[in-house]
Amino acid sequence: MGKIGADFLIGVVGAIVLAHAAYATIIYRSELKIKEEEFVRPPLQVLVEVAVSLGLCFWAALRVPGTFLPILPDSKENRVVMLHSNLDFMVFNHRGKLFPPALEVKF
Amino acid sequence: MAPSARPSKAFVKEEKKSDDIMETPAYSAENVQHNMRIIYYSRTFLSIVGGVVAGVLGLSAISGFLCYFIIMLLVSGGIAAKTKFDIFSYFDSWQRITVDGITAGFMSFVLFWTFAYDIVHIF
Repeated sequence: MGKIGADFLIGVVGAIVLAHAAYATIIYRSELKIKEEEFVRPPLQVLVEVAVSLGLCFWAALRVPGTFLPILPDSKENRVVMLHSNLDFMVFNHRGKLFPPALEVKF
Repeated sequence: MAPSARPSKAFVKEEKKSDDIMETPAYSAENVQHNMRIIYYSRTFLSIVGGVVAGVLGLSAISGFLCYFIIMLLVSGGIAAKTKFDIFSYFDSWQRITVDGITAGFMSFVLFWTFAYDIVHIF
């Protein structure tokens, strides 16, 4: 079915890379404590890992929730192309007749 | 000034109530909600990721908040790119993609920022 899609896996990989970056920073800080130096900035490797994980998470966050649906009623994806077989509850005498008809009507 | 001859009714454009309908376009409400839910999910997830990043990098005070706003700006850009820059066929105003959801994500950001900072730098 593809429920766990490729984009979700990319997000998981991004999270794992971020966790590894956090772990590397912890190790780095404990080394600094031994050498009794100040912590200014994480090492270059950690910065690169954080940037990579940000990129992967951005990709996953924009892809996983789904695609946008158009909101205008006369767009291509919102066309009503089929009616139910039971028309007893469908009302056609509504206020829609006050809308001016679109000049380009696709059939 | 002499009054001009009044044209016949067939050629006068009268203000009909249906003219107002042109100014408020009808939107498919469930699609509007669907799109807003997608933005909300994206922003929340990236707020959490941004919080962990700010904690790992050891950012504090102003630079941390700056990190959050930079990430939210990038998210807005990403959402605009996702719509292929045709924003008004998916959202009803600019505010949806620029401002909506920023306050909601801010709390998650601060929570995970504090969390990650404590784990990485203090304990």
